[in-house]
Amino acid sequence: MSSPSPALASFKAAADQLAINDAAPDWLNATRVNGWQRFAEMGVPGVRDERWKYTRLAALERQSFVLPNHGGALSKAVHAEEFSALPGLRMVFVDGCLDERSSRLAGKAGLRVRSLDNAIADNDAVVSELLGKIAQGPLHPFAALNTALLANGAVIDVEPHATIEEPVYLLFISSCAQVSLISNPRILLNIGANASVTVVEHHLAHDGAKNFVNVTTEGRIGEGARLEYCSVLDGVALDSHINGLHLEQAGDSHVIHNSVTLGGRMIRNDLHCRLLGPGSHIDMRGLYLAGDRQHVDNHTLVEHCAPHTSSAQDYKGVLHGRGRAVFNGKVLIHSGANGSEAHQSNGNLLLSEKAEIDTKPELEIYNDDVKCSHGATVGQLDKEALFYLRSRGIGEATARSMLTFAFAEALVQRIGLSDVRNRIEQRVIELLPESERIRSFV
Amino acid sequence: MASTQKELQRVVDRKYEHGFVTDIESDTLPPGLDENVIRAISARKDEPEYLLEWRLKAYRHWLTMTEPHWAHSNYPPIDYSAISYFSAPKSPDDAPKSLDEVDPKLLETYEKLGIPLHERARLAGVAVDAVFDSVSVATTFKKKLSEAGVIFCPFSEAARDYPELVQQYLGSVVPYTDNFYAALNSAVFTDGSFVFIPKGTRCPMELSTYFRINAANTGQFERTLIIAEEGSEVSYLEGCTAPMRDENQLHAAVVELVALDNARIKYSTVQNWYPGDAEGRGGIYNFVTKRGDCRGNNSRISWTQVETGSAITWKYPSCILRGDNSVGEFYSVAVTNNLQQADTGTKMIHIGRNTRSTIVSKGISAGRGQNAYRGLVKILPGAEGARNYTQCDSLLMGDACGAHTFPYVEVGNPSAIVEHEATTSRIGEDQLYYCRQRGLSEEDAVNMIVNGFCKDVFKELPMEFAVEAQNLLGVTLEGAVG
Repeated sequence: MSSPSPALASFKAAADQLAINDAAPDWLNATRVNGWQRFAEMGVPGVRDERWKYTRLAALERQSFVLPNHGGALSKAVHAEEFSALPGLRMVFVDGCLDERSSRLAGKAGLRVRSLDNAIADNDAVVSELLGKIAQGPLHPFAALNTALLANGAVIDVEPHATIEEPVYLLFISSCAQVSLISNPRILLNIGANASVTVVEHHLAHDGAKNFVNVTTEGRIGEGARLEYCSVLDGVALDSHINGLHLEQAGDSHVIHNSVTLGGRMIRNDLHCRLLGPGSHIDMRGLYLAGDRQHVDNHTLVEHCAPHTSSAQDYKGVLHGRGRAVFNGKVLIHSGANGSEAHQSNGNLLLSEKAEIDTKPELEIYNDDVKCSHGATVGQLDKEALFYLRSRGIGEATARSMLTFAFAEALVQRIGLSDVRNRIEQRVIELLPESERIRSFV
Repeated sequence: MASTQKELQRVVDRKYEHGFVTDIESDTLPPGLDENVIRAISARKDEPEYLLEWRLKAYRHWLTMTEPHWAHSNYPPIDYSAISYFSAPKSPDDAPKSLDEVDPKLLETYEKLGIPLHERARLAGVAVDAVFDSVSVATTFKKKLSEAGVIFCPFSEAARDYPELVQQYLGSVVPYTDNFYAALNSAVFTDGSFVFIPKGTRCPMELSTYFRINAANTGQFERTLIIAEEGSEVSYLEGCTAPMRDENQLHAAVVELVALDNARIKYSTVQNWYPGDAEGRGGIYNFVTKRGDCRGNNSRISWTQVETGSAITWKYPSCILRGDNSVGEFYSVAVTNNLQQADTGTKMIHIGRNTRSTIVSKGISAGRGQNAYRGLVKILPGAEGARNYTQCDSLLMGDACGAHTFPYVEVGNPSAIVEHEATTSRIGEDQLYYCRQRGLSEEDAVNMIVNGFCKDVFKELPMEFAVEAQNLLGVTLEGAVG
């Protein structure tokens, strides 16, 4: 055996530190130890691992990470103010620690939003019902690592039949540039039967922040419930980011997942959804941009476990500079899932010589009574559309910008929440090449 | 639905029609593999020294490799030391010069298979290089071919007579280091075909080889090498049947195609090896490496395959599009029934500029069959203007079967246009209803729909194969859906 990588050694040290220092209840420490054992068995996945074939973690492994210091003073969160005008409940985490001054946690009828710390201290039933129950299994080593280094996070509990109009906003800001931090936020969602809620998970980073953010979200969606979940990875300043969203849906539940990744050095998004009840549906929409020295990897896995379940997936990517993106969408239809329907589409726009896309839309089907389709395209802007615009007197560069923007905008427009939509639209314009030109016609 | 179930049962119960063993004394090496076995094979084939050296290198490399398990299939571990690596029909000491000299028992075998060699050869204008087990025993139409300058002969003969060609091209497309089974094949291959089409020649007839696996516990390791020089053209047909066996037989063939400037190679396969019985006992393990290299500009390689047999198929006929403007094509129908497992597809590697590839894959799963398409389309940064279109459709019949799609698309050039489409469904109730309403029986309706589903592939096959393929499909699936 070769000696463990610096990253692995630092994870181990962090796990040991938590086990000794924390005045946590015994069960929590046992959960952490168990998480560490599972992670240690699986290890940091290498390129020989099919699910990590295109995403190298070598750079991550060479670093050494420390846990955020919960007792220390919070560095100034420059972005927190930008969001203070937003309606609804809000939790702000800076470098993995809850910033209570910027958060707004006043109760609402039918909705409880609290920090994982508090929920654990109170023996909240949601924690014992969800923690580690959904994000598990050999596919997700980083969920096990999250459990091993479990510190804080958010618990969102919506009562049955409650309709929550205003969104719940979870803002995660990475700011530490002095040392490489690893933060492991854990988000638990418990959506009661026939309830309805919108949750936004928004990640931001200050320039130069050296954080490794390893988020794990576990959600149980009750019968007939509705959830719109937006994961926003905002900007090129994000360093290493692994984001796991794990959902279990009961019958007739309806989930919309908007995944927006606007860049970052090494980004990996995992979505694992199990449609457990008849009539459950998930709608997955993804937009990813990657430019110079950015790597964005989107993996989705939808398991159709019950009859008459359906899923739709539409992911689009714009790659420029030396950007590289990976898309792997897998639909797994189990033998009992009669009458299921799954559609998947992945479109990619390559704008530069050095950009690269690796896409793999997979279907694994064990039932004949299904309707499934998938499609993937890689290409440039439609020549005929360009010609059309030019024939109307629009210069070539402007026409290109228009079409590029329109390609991305098609997904942005489908985000339900106007505040989030508008912000993302602005960010997309800023991050696309030729943003001044786009601004001139938007 | 009741009639459907009955029909399905009938198809499931159908016995393999070509399952019989010809009673010919085989000159078989004892099971096991070491350097002495390889030396023995090489000695028996009277091979030149360079080939033995190459085999030994391959064998030493194979020892360092591990068996791959990434394919979507399940099977008990293969004991490579329990396989006998050489088996040759004994009776003809020297290869027969004409059909009259061929062992009548062999001819009888072909009769049973419905392939009257001489008749078929004459009627269809096809030169048949019949491979019985591992040694070629009959080669026809040789004269006509040699007049055109075409070399079409057993591999061992080519190794002796055309050493410079064999040395130049052997392993240049599929090196022995390529994968586990290619390395094994390189070490122990016993025979196969060698085809050389000289510059500017259009091969005067379709070339065809029938591979058969005969002696018990003998893996068959064929090696085919086709070279098309500048501006030449050839169509090569391959068809297979095998006798019924209770133990699994391993087949690990390697096919290498080389197309130089403006050359065209069309390689068609109808594969109907013994798939095992209804419980999945017996059947052939078909682990094949097939690859074509479009080495020259404007060259074209086209693979067409109809896979209905084998217990497990593991096969990815690929094209390396190295030359500018070269074209790769892959048309496939794969059928799995009972407990058959197929993991098949293609790789299109675009290296040259303006290279184009088309992939049309049709998978049909019935019974408890598992059918997977696995493909790679890779556009390298230099492949300016590359274009790929992929369509892979699956048809499911019965609620216990599976259809899977694993397409890999890797694009490193912005001027490339790559499209991938796939659909999976069963035969539409409305389509069936429409046909039945027009007076077609359920069976005819299903046949028609399935044949329509596969039409894009069948139309790529040479005429006589297209007929055979339709029959095969009918036999395998008729009435399997409702």
